[in-house]
Amino acid sequence: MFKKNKTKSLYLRNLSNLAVNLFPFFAVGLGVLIVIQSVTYKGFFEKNLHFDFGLVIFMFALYALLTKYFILSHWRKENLSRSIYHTFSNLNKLVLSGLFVLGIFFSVMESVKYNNYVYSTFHVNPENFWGLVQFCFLILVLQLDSTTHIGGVKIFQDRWDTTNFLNKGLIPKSELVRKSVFHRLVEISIFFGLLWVVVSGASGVLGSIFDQAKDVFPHPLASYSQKMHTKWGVFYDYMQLIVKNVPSNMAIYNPPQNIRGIEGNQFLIRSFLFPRILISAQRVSWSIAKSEADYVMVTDSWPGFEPPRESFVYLPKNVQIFWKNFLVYFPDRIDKIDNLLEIDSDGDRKIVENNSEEKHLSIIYNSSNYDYWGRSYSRNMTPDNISVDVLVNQTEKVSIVAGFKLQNGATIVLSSPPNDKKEEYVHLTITNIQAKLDNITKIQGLPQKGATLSFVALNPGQVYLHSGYADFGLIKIDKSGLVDSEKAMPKYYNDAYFLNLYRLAVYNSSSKNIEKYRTLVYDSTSGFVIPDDEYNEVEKTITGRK
Amino acid sequence: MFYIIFLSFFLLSFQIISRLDKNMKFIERAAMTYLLGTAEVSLLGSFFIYTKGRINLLEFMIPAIISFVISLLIIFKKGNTNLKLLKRVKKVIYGQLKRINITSFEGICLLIIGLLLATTIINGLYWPVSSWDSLTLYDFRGKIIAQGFSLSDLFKQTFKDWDFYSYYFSYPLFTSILHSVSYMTSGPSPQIFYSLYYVSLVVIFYSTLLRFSDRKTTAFLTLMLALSPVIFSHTTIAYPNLPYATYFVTGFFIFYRYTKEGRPIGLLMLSLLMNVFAYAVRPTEPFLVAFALIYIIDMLVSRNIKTKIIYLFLFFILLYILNKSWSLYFQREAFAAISYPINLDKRSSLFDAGLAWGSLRTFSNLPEIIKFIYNNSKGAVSPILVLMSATSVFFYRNKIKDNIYSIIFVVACYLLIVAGTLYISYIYDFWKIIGESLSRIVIFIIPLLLFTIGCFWRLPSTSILKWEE
Repeated sequence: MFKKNKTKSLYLRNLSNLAVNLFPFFAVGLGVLIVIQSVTYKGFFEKNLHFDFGLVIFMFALYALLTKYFILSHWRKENLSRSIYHTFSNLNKLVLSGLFVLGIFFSVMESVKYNNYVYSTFHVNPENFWGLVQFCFLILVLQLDSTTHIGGVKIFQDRWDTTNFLNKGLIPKSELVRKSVFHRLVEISIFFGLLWVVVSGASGVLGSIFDQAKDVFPHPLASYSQKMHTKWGVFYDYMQLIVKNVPSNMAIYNPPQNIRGIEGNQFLIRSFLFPRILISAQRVSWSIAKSEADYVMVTDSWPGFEPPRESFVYLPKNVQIFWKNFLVYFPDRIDKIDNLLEIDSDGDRKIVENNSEEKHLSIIYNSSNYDYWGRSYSRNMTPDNISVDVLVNQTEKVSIVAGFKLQNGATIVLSSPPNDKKEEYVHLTITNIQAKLDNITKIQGLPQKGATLSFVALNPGQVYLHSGYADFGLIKIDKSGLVDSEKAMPKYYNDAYFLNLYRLAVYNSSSKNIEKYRTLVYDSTSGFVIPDDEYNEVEKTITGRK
Repeated sequence: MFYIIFLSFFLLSFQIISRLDKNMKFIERAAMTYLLGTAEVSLLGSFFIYTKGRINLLEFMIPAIISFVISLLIIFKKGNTNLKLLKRVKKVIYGQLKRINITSFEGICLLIIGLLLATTIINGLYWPVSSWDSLTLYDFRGKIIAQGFSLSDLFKQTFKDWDFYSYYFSYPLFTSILHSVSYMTSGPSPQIFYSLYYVSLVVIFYSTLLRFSDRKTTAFLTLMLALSPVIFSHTTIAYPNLPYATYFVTGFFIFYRYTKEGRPIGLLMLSLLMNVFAYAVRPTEPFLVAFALIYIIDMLVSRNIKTKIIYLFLFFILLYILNKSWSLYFQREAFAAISYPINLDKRSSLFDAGLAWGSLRTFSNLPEIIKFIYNNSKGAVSPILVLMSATSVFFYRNKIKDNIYSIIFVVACYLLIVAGTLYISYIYDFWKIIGESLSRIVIFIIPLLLFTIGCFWRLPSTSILKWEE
């Protein structure tokens, strides 16, 4: 059956030998190129070597078909089994199985861990890697030849030769071999096409199964809340916080959907909060809603105003601070603070660590308005300047505060802006202390003379709306109807509150509206004046960040 | 309680299925029983909701007990064959296990399918409903019904947000009722229903194709169905697309068997019933037209037209009742909550959709729509799969006459997808953002294509990968 056709020219035979023997080298070469592409990026060759990779693949496919033709028409079986082509083909099967398993492994890891996990860990682009698997698969398909059996019948009845077709005809003796070569090819192509669909889909299904099973087996008895937390993360905890704190007949003012896609989606939050009434900020302005709503949801970037609050709860937050160079510049000396003591707090919090050696403070907050950590003083002298370097795990968490006790018993607290960067040291400072003190006492109608410095501290407990403490929080609206002057005298006149309010106003406006908002803030804070240098500083940082 | 309700209805459904068709294996019958049983529970719940606005568990128990008694009566009347059910189940399972040769290609396929089915059931039992749309709509309605609220209470919970009123009424309550029964009875997570729909679909596909193809091909194609990522992903989300696809595809499979197995009337009834359920799940899908088309063609080519016209008439009456009761309920609930008259959205009705065709004067954006459909459905239905099924049909042309219905059905479904998108594009400006839901709608095409391939093509021997030295 495998007689060499003697009528073929020597030239053709030599060409056939050359083509078949060189095929493995070309294939390996192309394989290496695909590997390079899979560890770099798609389009690597186009960009660096200026050739079209698709064209190369196409040329190779043509070459592979030519090789196929030569093998079918010019090669003896025994010669072929001794050739390098045969060794290469067998090797390819081995490599293909390995690569296939690896490919599935990559797909599974990608879906189990996170997007881009495979590239960041193994430096392999999974999508291009599948290209390599497809390439080996293509070579495998090309290996199907006269020696491959299908159901006990050879795919190719004989050499692919027109004389054979004519002489032996298309209808052989056995019933099993009634189909033409073409028909068989189609039959197999359908199989491989379908196999291709299965293979390309399998990684998705396996990934999905692993994704689900990785939580099922470690926690077989997990509660409903734990499972929902796995699926929805912090958002679910936030919804539970609201469910716990808001009675079911109350109304909640929720963020607009165009600002907060998830927390502002009424359909979604209603499925957790029903039957609480929801009022969307997208449809109802605050001026109308404030009489209807009982609570306001607070999320990272919303609301841009300060609702009158009776209480404020939020999800527990761990604040980690490293601090150094905590200096107080008096006119006559410079004090260095080396350990932080607890001065005052209204927070519901858990102190995890306060290490003066490593200068590390770690606290978990459930709720807090202020939490002062520093050193107590009783000095009549006003410092010029206070500064510290802090590294905090979240932005806008920590500021310096300085408390001044007045003769009427009230305390004015001056504050620096909070840290504007996380995970790196930032320099915080309070300047112009005397000028600020004079401003506040004048505006609030407090006694101007005889202020005593009572403490210098770090304040990780300030709730800056828009900042990390209030990623997810809930304000109960104060509906007592009392205006500020009728309320009891506050324990602290904390300028950080006003400063923050002003910052929010700037943050929420375009630059041309800043003046307008500035006026608004003056009004709403009883004419509190922020010193000009502070104004410029804040405006610079905020507009810069925008 | 959960198990009592469902087992009673399943027992009755099993008897009904056994009456309608005697040529089913146990496992196929069980899958059909699940489809029929859940539909019974759901439609009964819908009936309570439509009439009273709320579901009372006690009222649910009465029909459950009645169906339990009826099925017991049938079992006893039929004699001891059914009483030895357990023994039969055992025998059937042993018989199946004996036939499976794990070392063979078929065995491997079946093993993987089995593992997939087991995995999806474990996942269904473990995970609560957590995907977005099901939380906001399908599961949410189930939850509030279970808590004793009526849907009109939803309007009272919004403040000047009535524009969204129709969202909660965008689909009938079919799957929501199943959820609410599960919540009311503290049963397992409703996610399990979807896993079981997947199991039913795979089982029914396997046992139907086995009648028209060889075992290896059937096992391979069933594996393809089970491993189809988009269908599998529907077991992890609680959307009604998978129940719809299961009912619709099952309806077609039974009809196909009906045309091949001497047209027994039981199969016809079962097939029509499945299509009614498909309509009850998602009445907005236009694909019933494809079913009606092959039904009418079959009616014309075969004898006994009169009976078939009567059945078709009954079929449409049922659809009309489902449609009307839903829209009446919607109007009543909406008016109960909102004082001013609202313009009710009637476009969802299949019947009105037909009228709207008159307004379509131009097909100018047809190329754009075909491109849109291709782009959005290729993720769900692989273009290679479509190509392979076309290839199989083309190369085994001699079989076309035998399998003409499956071809007509698939082509009609594709035409309806195009027509439906065309229709939507004329009505809504935002039609281009529905791409994702289009990709969910077309999932029923996958089993249909695989079935068509199975009818035409046979798997070559698996020794294809063996290199003979």
